[in-house]
Amino acid sequence: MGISGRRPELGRLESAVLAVVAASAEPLTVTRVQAELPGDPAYTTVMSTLARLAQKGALRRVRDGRAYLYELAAPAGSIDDALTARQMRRLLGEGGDHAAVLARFVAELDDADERLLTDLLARGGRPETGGPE
Amino acid sequence: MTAALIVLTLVLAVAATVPVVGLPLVSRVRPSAAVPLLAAGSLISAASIGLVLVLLGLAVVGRVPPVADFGGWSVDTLEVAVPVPAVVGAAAAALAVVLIGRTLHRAGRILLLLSRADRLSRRLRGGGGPIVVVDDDAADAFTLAGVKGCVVISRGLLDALGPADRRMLTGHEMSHLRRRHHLYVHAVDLAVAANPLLTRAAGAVRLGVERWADEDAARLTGDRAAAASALARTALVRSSLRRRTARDPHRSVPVLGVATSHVTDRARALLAPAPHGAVLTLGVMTLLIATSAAAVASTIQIHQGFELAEMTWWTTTAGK
Repeated sequence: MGISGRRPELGRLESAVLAVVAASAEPLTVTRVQAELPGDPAYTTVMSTLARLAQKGALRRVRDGRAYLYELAAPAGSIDDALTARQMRRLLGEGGDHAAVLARFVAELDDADERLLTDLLARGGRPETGGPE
Repeated sequence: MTAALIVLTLVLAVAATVPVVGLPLVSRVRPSAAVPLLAAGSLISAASIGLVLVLLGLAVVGRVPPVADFGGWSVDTLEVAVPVPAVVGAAAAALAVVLIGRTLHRAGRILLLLSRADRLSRRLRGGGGPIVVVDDDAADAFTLAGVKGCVVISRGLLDALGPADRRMLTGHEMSHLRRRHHLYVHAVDLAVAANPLLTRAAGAVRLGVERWADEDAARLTGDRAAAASALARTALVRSSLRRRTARDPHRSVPVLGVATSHVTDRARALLAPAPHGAVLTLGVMTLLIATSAAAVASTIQIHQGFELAEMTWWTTTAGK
């Protein structure tokens, strides 16, 4: 466990930074990460957070000319993805007892849900007026 | 006795309130307040009823002569000092045994699942960070609990989403992981095992942690309405991807019933103004404080009965 010690693994800013980098399709510069973060954190703060995450092995740093770009580090070693996927599904499907694994981001939708969500998007995410409530 | 009756009444009141208040609580109160409140409330209420059942049971079991001799108290005084009808005490004792057994069983299951999830997430992470993208066509994103948990996102889902929606997704899952939301789910599950009347609280807490993660992700993206759209789009994308890969029967196992069927509620909650609901919170807290106070009072009362019976026993044996 080494560097992480007994402290909470990730701070507030660290997890926000990680979420931003993970959400990006390509490696990001410090400036890009800074721009995507809420609450205008200082450039140097973002830079040192990125460096720390890279040191922890969560991010990979790649050189691009004179700047550094950051991207999500691929898990070390090669995982047997098929085996892992099977295990994950077993864990998820375990007899109605899924406390150890939190909900998937979203799961099954029925037709009514789909209609409601499509409707909601069509209205451009504005709150409905005069709904059933 | 009276305190014990008050506890029973309050616990029943809590149990009756949960179905009515649970869901409004997580949608109208800030989830970061509602979820801990509901989890703590369920634990307090379950512990109170458990304590009272054990005490009532002891008061009757303590009248059995060998037990009374062993404990060193007078049966006659105990009967007068703690006037619990024998039938009630016996029923309480039996119920306590069943509920304690259920709770231990549940605790064992939770430990087993946690250790399995922990092992799996360590292997998935390798030496790397907490977000793991797996090469899987199935559209999936979830958080694995554990001492070292991780966020698992499938390449299939990530590729199907735009940048803003991806940010909502990663922000949501990182919130689960960082705030250790699974602990609230475990806590309420344990409480439900100890007091089955609280079953509805489990659903409310599951929905609550999803709402909590949604609000955290919305703060990351800076716009709650945009976050609602991202949630809706992701749900639809995942649903359509899923239909394409639906041949594997294991993939259609629903994960967390309530939380998953509430995507529309979650989107609506993000569209509504940011929640406060101070009155509701205060009401629930008052009920919980009253319950625990009554449980403590009941413990003191019954304990005093036993002490009285011990004193009588000492004076009679000393007199012999």
